[in-house]
Amino acid sequence: MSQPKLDIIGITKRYGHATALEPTSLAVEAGEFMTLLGPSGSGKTTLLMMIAGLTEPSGGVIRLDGSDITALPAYRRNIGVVFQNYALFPHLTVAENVAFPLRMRRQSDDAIRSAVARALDLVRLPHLAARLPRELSGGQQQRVAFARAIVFEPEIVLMDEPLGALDKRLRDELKLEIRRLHRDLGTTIVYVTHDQEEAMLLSDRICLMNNARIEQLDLPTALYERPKTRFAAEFVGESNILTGRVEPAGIVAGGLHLPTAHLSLLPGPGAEASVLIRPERIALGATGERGLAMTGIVTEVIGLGGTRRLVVRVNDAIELTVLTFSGDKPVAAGETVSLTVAAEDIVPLASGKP
Amino acid sequence: MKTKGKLTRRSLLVAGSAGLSALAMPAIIRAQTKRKIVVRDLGIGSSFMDAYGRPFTEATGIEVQPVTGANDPFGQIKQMVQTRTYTWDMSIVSRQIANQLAADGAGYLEPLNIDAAPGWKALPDMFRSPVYAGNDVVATVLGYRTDTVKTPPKSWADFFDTKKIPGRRAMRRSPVDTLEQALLADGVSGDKLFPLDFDRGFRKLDAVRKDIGVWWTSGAQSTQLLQSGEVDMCPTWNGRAQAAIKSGAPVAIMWNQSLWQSEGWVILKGGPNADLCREFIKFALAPERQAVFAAATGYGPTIPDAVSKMDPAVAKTLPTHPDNRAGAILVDVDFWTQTREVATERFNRWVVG
Amino acid sequence: MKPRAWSSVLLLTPAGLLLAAFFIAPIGQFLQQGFLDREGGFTLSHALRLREAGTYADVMWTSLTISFWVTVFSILSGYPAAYVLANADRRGKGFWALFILLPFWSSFLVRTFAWIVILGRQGPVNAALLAAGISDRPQELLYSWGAVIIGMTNVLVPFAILTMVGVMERIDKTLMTAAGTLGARPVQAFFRIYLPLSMPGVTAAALLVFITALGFFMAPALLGSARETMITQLIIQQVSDLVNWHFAAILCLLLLAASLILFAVFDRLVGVSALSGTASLETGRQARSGANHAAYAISAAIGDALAAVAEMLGLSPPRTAGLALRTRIWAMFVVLFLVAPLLLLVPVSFTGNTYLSWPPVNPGLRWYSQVLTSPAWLSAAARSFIVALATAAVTVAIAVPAAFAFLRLSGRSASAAFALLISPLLVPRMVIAVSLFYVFAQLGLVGTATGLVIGHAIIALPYVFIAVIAVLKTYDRRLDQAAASLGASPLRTARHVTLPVISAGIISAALFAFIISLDELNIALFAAGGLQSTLPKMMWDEATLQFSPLLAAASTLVLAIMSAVVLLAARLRSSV
Repeated sequence: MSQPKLDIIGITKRYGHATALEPTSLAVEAGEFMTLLGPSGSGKTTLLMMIAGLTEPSGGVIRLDGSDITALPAYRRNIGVVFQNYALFPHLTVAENVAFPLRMRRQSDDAIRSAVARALDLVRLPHLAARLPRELSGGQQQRVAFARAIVFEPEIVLMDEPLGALDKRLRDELKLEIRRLHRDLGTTIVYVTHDQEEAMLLSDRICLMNNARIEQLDLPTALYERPKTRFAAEFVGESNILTGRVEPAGIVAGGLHLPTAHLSLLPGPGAEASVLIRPERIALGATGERGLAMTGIVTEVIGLGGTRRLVVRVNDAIELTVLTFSGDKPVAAGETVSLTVAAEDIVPLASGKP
Repeated sequence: MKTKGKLTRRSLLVAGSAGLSALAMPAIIRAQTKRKIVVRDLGIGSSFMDAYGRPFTEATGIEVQPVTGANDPFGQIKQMVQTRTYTWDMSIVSRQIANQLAADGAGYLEPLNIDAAPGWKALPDMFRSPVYAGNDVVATVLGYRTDTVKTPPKSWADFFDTKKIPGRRAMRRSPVDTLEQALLADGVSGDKLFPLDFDRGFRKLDAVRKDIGVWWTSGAQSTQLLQSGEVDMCPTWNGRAQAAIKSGAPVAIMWNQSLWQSEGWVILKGGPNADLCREFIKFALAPERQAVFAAATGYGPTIPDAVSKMDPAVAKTLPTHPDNRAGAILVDVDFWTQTREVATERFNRWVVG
Repeated sequence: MKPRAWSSVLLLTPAGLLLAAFFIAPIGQFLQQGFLDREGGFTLSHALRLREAGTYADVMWTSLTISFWVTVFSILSGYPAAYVLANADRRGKGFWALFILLPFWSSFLVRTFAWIVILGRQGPVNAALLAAGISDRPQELLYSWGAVIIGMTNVLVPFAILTMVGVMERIDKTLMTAAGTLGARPVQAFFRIYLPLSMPGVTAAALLVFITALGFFMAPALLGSARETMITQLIIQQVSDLVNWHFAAILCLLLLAASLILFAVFDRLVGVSALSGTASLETGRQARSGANHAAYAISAAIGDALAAVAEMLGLSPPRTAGLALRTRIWAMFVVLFLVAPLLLLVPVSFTGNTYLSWPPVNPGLRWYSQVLTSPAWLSAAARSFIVALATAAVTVAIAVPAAFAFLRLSGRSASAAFALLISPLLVPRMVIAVSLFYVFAQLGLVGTATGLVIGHAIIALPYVFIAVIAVLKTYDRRLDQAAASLGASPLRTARHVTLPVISAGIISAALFAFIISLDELNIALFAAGGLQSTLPKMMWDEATLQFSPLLAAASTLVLAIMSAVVLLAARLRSSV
């Protein structure tokens, strides 16, 4: 197996008695798009700042291409950072901002000029080279920040919630742009966000963080479909989580028998356990598949444009959220419906801490 | 906008460094040992420079820089000599201040030692001492507005009689002159005035305290008060009242019971330019020069000959003119030298009470 | 963490040394004189003189009451103007700020002096009263309690306004709207929400005005009668007329004690940091706890009382959206009051009269030509500008590192550093001036440019320090991080990023020092006349010894230059 681009081994950060990051290890492969996903205070930005060298770790080692960079100051690390508020230098023009890292590396004027032009072309802003940052829109500033972070061909690019300050439309547009740039450049990117959609769309792998440690490190699809913990299940996507007692083929919760295809993940019979059912995996009507079939009363219908969310009450004990397409047969509140879930889609969760 | 900002910032920096290097300049100027004296004068228009300063520079090449200072600059001179920071080389002061400066401790004035000069010989004894050469005679008089004061005051008693002559009054913020006026108003005769009876004087002042609208602190201020009509009556030095009359203001002078004293040149003890100052004083003690000064200020010359060099019409306005000196009373300088400090303390407490 | 702590100490060293050598030590050495006899033995005889016939107690009481009323009037007239300034839109803000800043930047002395003409028997106010038939003979407005209060208030209102604006600008405007939706009538919303929130600004402004007023001597000397004698005048008298250092020290001690007591009371109620207009300062946090609740309780009580009065009178308070016409008109009056003395001196300066008079006659340029051809005025102007430039350079060079260090510190060391650097603000200028004079006399620095620069730097340091902190607080530290991530070493980060970005703020802080120095009279006051004069000293001598329109001409010239500097600064700020 090849050496990881970035190898983080047992890195930790404490402020007095408070722990910002428990000892954490993480390996990022060359060319990989790794996202640190989590709520605020989960330690993801601390981890990112330690990789950048802007926060001093309390312990642990960071290796870049195999060499220890833990004690190296930020300005010698050759790691590009895109900051949350872009941190563009307000007194410098767009071109001067992009040229800054090259000047710090004492490159020749010619080299700088062509590199800046290339970088601005890449982010499609060559026409704004002479503007000052405050004369740009948020989206444009974000692109300049990106151009500045990649122009010196850093080993890795770190991005700290780079789309956080933008409105949704622009965010959607720039998400695709970042994906394109990552593909075109093949750069290794470590990306911090609290937005799971962003993480899903962009990442090769997602490192879900919570309470100053890694909750789950996985492929996006795996994280969505096979979350290991209740936190992971709830943080990523919508979820129905049912808690009950373990029986031989599944669990019993609210008088329902929930058979799962993932029996190995369940604790022994008699123990308490939770299972996850994604709302879109619950089908209306009987499909005849092996799994769970039940009837319930629709208590609420919420139109969401393309989709429709139903709240269905089953056995007077359980409320399930069901996601259907708007094109499906309309359902009204008060109607009795039958629901089916495949055993494959009933995913046991680890209880509490792993 | 941006380049402009940058340029301005740069030019500010340039200006800043130029300023820093200029800080060292006074030392360079001093090193050149330019022949120059700084003289505290009375600050009456350009009278000092016209009569003495410019002619002296023309005659000797020594530059003269006039500065204005507070009246009776006793403290200032004492301080300059004590701290050896000679912002003035010499000064014109009243005889009383000169005596006091000479008597205090080791003395704060340089001996003049110009006995051989003709001007010194022409000076009557009453106008000179080893550290003092009289330049002019000042009379403290009452100036009043002729437009608002319908009955001209004839004595200090009239001035203190607010019923007989209504109107806003000002007085000098000093026990000197003020206490004399109060006692004269209270009926003390001129020849029995000194030593002053302070208790009686302050009692008389108590009676008019609420009628005194302004306590002036500088001669120019008293002129301004009369000129602008801010007050109707104001005891002041005759030259200051004369200045108001000259500017065209409807002001007249009450010469009766005027209080005489002299003012003259002194040199600060141990100053670097004492010899240049001696040259200046010798030059200034000349009838022709005093005649110019007297005509410009209204103060009488100390060298009797000077009057003969003046326009008779102007000479009539001086305190030394026989008409004006008839009711005059000579201030006892020695009395004040002994009592001034105590009197000032008491007066300062009285005036704010 | 260790090397950081060391570098903070290093950065604070220049400020510490300057203050120790030329602020703390001289004041200590001078005040000590109050308890020494001629032979250097201990004595209480000077201190006991304070009891004499009640004079000094009376003068101190007069000083306190005058300062109190000046504070009241400054806050009352300044509050609406500050409100308008804080809530105006961008363009309106520029307009109001200009008219409030212009008097702020122009000479204390000039503005005080103008009232001699305005309130004079023949002055415009009396002329208007006569013309309107309100009175049949000229009123005696000048040389009175009222004249002193007007003159001092006029000088201090801009201080009050600027201090209050700082706090008001941070008040969330939607709070008033929210109060409206919750059923509060505008009067109630204003008094229950806005006024309490702006109270820290009000108290800080009151403290600054009070302490500054307590040390005044120009206005009572020029506009008052003997009855309005203030303590600083007595100090000047002791030093320059009587040369009695011992009793001067006792009077200085009295003045200093009064200021410090005021400050201590303020600190208990509100906390020091409100002074700097940045409530989020680290030092404020501790003071913010218990004592602050008391301040809020007091302000709420005052607010309720005022609300009741306002409702009885049927006054309409400022509305939230847009500014009520009445508030604007009031602010206009305040601005007019501020600018009037300045505008009035301009015509007076062209008069052909030999004395100060109203109205001006035979207009001409004679006073200008006198100023511009006088070696004394020109050398004083040159000296003042050089001293002001040097003061600005020295102060910024000391305050910038100190501010950087301060922002790195926390807890007790931060409080200590802050207290040290703003301490000259709390000591009346005359006390600083007399103490420095006393020490300079021994060092041969009296009247020298070096001596002036040192004195001015001490006085300007707190202002510049606070201004630089404000600049640094708005500075986004992530720019430094970004520079580091892009390969810039700490030194190059400072040179290429930090300093260029904060330069506009630093320049305006320097300008602050420049103008304080240019207008500073106390330090130069005792170095009598001569060629070592400064511009304010020349003007003071002119105002107290000459009374000619020449002062109006000189003032107009200074005003023109100051305005140019202020406009230039505004331009610089908007261009960066």
